[in-house]
Formats: sequence, C-alpha cells, structure tokens
Amino acid sequence: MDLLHNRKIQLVLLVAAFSIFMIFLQDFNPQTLDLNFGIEFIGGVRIPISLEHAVEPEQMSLMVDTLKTRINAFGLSQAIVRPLGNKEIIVEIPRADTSAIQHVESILKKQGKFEAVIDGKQALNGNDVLSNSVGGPSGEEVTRVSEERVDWRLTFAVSATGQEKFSTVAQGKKGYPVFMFLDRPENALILMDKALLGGELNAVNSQSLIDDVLEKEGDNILLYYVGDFEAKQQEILNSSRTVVILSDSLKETHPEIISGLQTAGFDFLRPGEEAPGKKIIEKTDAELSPQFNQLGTPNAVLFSWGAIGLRSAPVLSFQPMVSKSITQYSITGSASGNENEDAHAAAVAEIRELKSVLTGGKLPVSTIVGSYYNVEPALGQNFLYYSFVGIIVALVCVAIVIIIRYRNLGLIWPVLITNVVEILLLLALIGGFGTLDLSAMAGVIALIGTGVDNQIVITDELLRKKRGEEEQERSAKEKLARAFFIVFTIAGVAIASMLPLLLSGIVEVTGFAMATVLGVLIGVGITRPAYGALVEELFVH
Amino acid sequence: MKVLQLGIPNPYEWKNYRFLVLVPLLLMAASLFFIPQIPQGIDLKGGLLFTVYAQDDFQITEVKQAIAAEFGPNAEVRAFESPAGKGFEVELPLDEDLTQAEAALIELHEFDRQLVQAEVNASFYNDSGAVEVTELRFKVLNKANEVLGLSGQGLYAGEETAEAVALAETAFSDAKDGYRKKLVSVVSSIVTVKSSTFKEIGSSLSKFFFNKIQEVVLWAFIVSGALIFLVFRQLVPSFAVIFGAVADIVITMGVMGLLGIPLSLASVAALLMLIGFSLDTDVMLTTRVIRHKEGSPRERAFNAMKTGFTMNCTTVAAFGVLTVLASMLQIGIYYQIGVVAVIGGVVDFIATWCGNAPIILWFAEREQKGSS
Repeated sequence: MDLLHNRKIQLVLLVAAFSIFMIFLQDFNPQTLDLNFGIEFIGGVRIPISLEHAVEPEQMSLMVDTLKTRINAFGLSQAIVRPLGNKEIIVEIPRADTSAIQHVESILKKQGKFEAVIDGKQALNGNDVLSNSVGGPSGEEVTRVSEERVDWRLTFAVSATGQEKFSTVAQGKKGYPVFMFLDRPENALILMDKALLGGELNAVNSQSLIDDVLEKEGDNILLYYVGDFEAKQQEILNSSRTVVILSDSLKETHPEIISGLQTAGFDFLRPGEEAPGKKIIEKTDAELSPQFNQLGTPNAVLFSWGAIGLRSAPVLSFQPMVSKSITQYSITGSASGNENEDAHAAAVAEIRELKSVLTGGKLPVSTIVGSYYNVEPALGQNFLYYSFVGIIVALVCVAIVIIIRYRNLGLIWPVLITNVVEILLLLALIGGFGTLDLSAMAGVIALIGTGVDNQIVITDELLRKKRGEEEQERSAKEKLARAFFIVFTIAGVAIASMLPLLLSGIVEVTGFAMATVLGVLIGVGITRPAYGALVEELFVH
Repeated sequence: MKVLQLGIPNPYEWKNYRFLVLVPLLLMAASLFFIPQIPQGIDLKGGLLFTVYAQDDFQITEVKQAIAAEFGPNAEVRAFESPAGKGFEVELPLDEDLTQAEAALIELHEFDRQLVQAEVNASFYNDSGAVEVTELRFKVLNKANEVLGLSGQGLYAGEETAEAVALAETAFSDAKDGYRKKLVSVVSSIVTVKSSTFKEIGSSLSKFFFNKIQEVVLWAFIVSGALIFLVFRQLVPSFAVIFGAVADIVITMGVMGLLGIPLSLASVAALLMLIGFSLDTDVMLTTRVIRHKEGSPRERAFNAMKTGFTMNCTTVAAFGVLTVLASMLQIGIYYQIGVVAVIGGVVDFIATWCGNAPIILWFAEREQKGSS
C-alpha cells in the first residue's frame, strides 16, 4: 500500500515506536514501566514551606539550594525542592512517610555551631552573635575601588555577654587572626597526606600557621600525616580522640589504615543508622587542603580549611575595650577578579559566606510549615493500576460512540489507532521527560475524549455529499484544508486558555495543563495530518 | 456510506429560531443565583482532608460522632465504597487559633528584628535609644505570649526575648503537629486504618492559590479572546463564539453551585479547559456557517450540529469514565475535573446550538441578503 510511503504515516509509526521504547524499554526490561511517576502514584510526601515574606529571586534560589543540600545530607536523596512564586518552596520526597515532615522541620531550624577562636581561646560562639544584626540593609556594602578590585564590608553585633568574652580574650591580640569556624569538629584528629600542603618549602613555612589554627584551649585538633601512620599508630590510637577525619580516597590507597582504625573501634557514619561512638569522617582532598594567603611572607595567614570547618580568618585590626554591652563589629576585605563582574561577584560571595557562618547557616527568612500532602505507596499503586484501566475503558467508550455515529467498522480503526498513538506519545513524553502525576494522568484521560473531536471534524468534512450542486465540487484535499483551518484555530485557543495555568507553577494542576497543551500539539503536528492522509486514502473513492 | 441520521427536524428552519437564544440566557440568569453557593475546596480556603481506607467494617455514625466531639460541627465526614475498599473522608477546617497564631508569629519575628536593631543602635550611639528598646522588648514578650496562648500549650514567655521567640516557634509547630496527630488518633481509635492519604493546606498557601487562580483565569480569558478576534476578524462572529464559551462556563458554575461541587484547583483547571473545548464546537459551527458556501446557512448550521453532537458525546464519554474512576478510587482531582467536564460538555451543547448558532445564523443570513 502506498500509504506506508506517506511521510505523515511514517512519522506516526516512528513516533509510536519511540513511545513504546520510552515506556517499556528504557531499561531493556519490557516488564517494567520506565516512566517517572509522581508521588501520588509511588507514594510520598509533599511539603509546601511558606516563607514569612516574599523574597527576591536570587535569595529564593539560595534558600532552595541550601535546603537541597541539607535534605540530601539527611539521607533523603531523592527529594525535589523547588520554588513556587516568591513566597513558597515545595519539597517533595517520594516514598517517604509522615515522619518526613519532622525531618524537614528540623532541617529548616538547623543551625550549625559557630565559634571564633583567637590564639587558641574561644572568643565567641553562636549564642553571642545577634543573628538579626548580621548584615542587612546598612550592614553590608560592596564598593568598587578599581578595575580589578572590589572592597566589601559586613557588620554584625554581639550580645553583652559575648562582648565581655570577646574583649577579654582579645586583650593584647591586635594583629592576630580571628579564626571563624562553622561546625568545628570536637575531640578530633586529622589524618592527611603531607603532599596536600604542596611541596617541602610550603610544608616548612606553613607548620606554625597550621599549629595555630588547630589550637584551642581544651580541644586541640591533632594532626598526623599519612606517611607517619605506621610509626605513630599506637600514639594515634592512645590519643582518646573520638573523631578521625581523613581523605575519601584512603579506602583505596591505604586500606590498611582504615582496617587499623576499625580494629580500634572507629567506624564510618552511615545514614539511617545510629552513629558509632568513634567516628571516621571522610572529606575530599580539596577540603583537606588548607588554604593560605601570602605564604612565606610575614603576613601569611591560613584562612580556610574545609576539613575542620575553618571558613574565614579576618585579622583583628584594633584593641577592643573590655566592656559588657552590645557592640557592633565589621569585617572588611577585598576581592579581585579579571573583569568587572568577577570581582563584584567574588565580593558578594564572600559576604554571603560570612553571613552564613556568623548565623550558623540559619536561613535568612523564617519559614512556616503549614501544609502537607501524603500518599501511601500501596494506595498509590492502586491509583496507578486503575488509572490505566480507566484509559482503556475511555478508549473503548469513545470507540463505541464513533461506531454508533458512523455505522462503519472500517472507520473505527483509523480513529482508534490515532487515539492510541496520541496517548502513548503523551505518556512517553510526560513520563520520560517530566513527571506523570495525578493531574497529568487526568489530562491524558481527558485527551482521549477531546483528541478525537478533531478526527470527527475531518471525517465529517470528507464525508459530506453535496446535494446536487455540482459546481461546488471540491477535491478531498480542499476539504481537508478547510477542516485543518478549524483544527488549527481550536488548537490555538486550547493552548491559549491552558498556558497561564501551566505557567503558574502550581504543581497540583500544572501536570494537567501540560498534558492538555502537549496533547493539542501532538494532535496538530503528528496524528491529525496522518489521520487526514489515512482517511483521504480510504474514502476518496 | 451510511451515517446515523438524526431523525429530528432542522430547528433552524423555524422562522423564529432566534428565540432559541433565550434558553442559554435564562440558564445563565438562573446560574447567577446558584454561583455564590459554590462551596470552596480546601485548596482555596485551607483545611485538612484525611482519606481513610478501613481494614474492617465500621459504623460511619460512630466516626461522625467522634469527630464532631473533638473538632466541632464544622467537620465533615463522608463515607465511600470502592473496589479498593471501604472508607471515609474527614474534612476539617483550619484551627482558627492556630491560624491567628501563625499571623502573630510573623509579627513576632518582625518585632524581634526591630528590637535587635534598636539594641544595637542604643549601645552604639549611647543615647536615649534605651526607651525604644524597652518598648520593643515589651512588644516582643507580649507577642510571644500571644503566640504561646493561641498555641494552647500552656507555656509562658520568660524575661529573655531570644528565648521567648524560640519558645513561641517551637510551641506553634508543636501545636500544628498536634492538631494533625489528634485527627489521626481520633480516627484510628475507631477504625483500623489500612491505608490513607493526608492533605493539609495552610492559610498562607491557600491565600496564594486563591490569588494566583484569579490571575490565571483572567489571563486565560484575555489571551483566548484576543486569539478569537485575530482569527475571525469580524465583531459579530467573534462575539458569538465568545458568548458560547462564556455561557458554557457560567451555566456549568451554576450547576456546580446547585450540586455542591467545590471550587478547587482541579475544578478551576477544568473550567479553564472548558474554554478550549467549548470553543471546539463554536469555532466549527461559525467557520462552517460563515466560510463555507454550499447549501443555505440554516442547512450548514444543522449539519454542524450533527458533527457537534458527536464531538460532545465522545468528550462526555471520556470524562464520564474519569468521573466514575474518581468515585471508585476517591481521587479528588479526577472527580472534580471529570464532573465539571461532563457538566460542561452537556451545557456546551445547549450553549453552542441555542446560543452561538442563532447569532451566527442571523449574521450570515443578513450578509447573504446584503450581497444579493
């Protein structure tokens, strides 16, 4: 049949094959459905988080990123976090149960431990910093000094008790670095590769700086080099430290060290399990490398060390007066870069980093968890099964209507096949590239009824016999063209009415809007032209 | 090829066919009476919806009594039966105290912010800022106590503002959690729960949805309307088409009010979809009558009606399946979309053929007279 040579028919066959592949064969196992299903079908929790006031897009994406990182760290790695408007954040965790809401609430409240250490003594901790005073409209400033350099300033205030502590510890320490930590490990030792210091000369120059950073009254962090492990093993194990920080590559390069530690009672933290008494914490080599400024000069300073939580080390540039009242301080610095934007962006990033450290990572805007949606997996499976049953029943019902109207079984096949191909493609596209949730599935079932409307228009156009008016004879092609005008207009309006809903971001219904819009596009672009070709071929005689 | 002949006479051959317009107009007027009676779903007014599938048999009256005892008369309990099992739905409004507490908590955070700013300024400038500080401290502690009182945990703020704020926050989230848990435990004490879904929409989110939906509906009308004008370019046909769609939606909403179908995100989405699919038949009718030339306009209109009837039948069939599926599975989204679409499909038939058709016929015949 030369139908098979028709481009439009070929397109439909291709599309059908593609859809079947996407639905069943993505993992080469025809027994599984390989589509992404929403939490209503696989079970899970949706937690919309309301922000107390609207935020700028930049701040919103920052909060979303922070939440994502924290949720992943909690072990809820499949969670989806996305903004809704400028006042809501939606967290979706598939297969979680009602306890997830407590986890999310504690993640939102989470604050890291901030401390400032001067010359081995703690000068400030998180309770001393007034978090509402960190930065803010008059508390942060970025000034361009030259083409390549941008100066920045961050202001914060400490409480009365904090000021007393700080000023006492800081007596006589003008010029000393104030080491700022977020979550400095307690009772810990580091086991690192000496090579990370970057050469013999660096190792020599940096020794005293490193010693200074690790020192803290009552809680020094011990440092050992991997190369010395064998020799010093006893010393290490006798040190009564309960946390060992080492490289994540040590498992492969020095498995004997790991087993040596494990025999002594140390073990890895596993998410979901109880933490062992003696912990091994893995860090990347980048985190294990201390970052220096101006190494080898009298102004050298160690300002960042991910493995121990050292985030900044501004230099104390004055002598604070011992007092017990709320006091404001500012931290200043400068950032450089190659272009206008680089330096500015670097400065903004440094301010942001310091704000996060000083507030212990607290979210900048208070949140309220007031809403919540939970579906149990067993129930979700039920929904999915019956939804597919529904699709088939709808296809049958529509077929019955067509049969009653046209009284011709031969006409059923083109309509049914077109309908089925549309549904398959819609399922494949939404489930393959997006998420097939309850509202999207509703859209798919809806399409069965509305998609066929246009086939009806086309068929009627082709079928109408003229009643004895020969001068108005039209070729099948012309009739088709007229039908398509109607079809395109209808498509345009259907999309136009759904578009605002689709763009609204309201996840409960955007699936439906997407399914409707996609269904219309598939119909206009692929299946209707093919149907037209099919019917033209079959009925032009 | 034989096609099913509708054995009815062409209504448009009737001399006074234009009086058909009265039908949709009257229905629209009646609907305006019913529309204010449309209940709001929890999406738009906030609330909790707990859908429970019970392990064994239960007495729905027991459930209703227990719920009413704990949560008052505004709670709704509805039983259902499905192939997936027997169960019931409990719908609770948001606890008023907690909603107020939420607003108070937001104010508390704002006062706290102002207090810290004032404390900092006072110590920095070392002057009479002290008065403002004391005022704000008072405000903060008062507001914290308000939150604590509304949270009903029996706690009081001390003298320390930072602690008071933290206490208020914890008390509020504990109270919210407690309200949810109370619902679950009251239900579990009467039936063994086999499986369930739980949905809570807080006041902030429901307000957001409410505002957003209004925006969306407005834009949908504007964009669709503009597109219609662009396509038909003539005032009367465009107006006729839009009238068909508007009548469809208004009358459908009237039926919603009559039957108590709630306004929710899903039902609004279905109403928006009605714009598109009611236009299907309207556009087809208008195009055939205005642009096609064979036969008389009345004949063309009648033929279009036959096509339109089939179109409506298939749509109603598919959405009918959706609605049945929904009542079987207790899936709110499916039910709301399905039922609105089924009603919309039936109403569309009336709106298009009694509303749009007479207008366009009148226009077409007038044009024809004018050119001959």
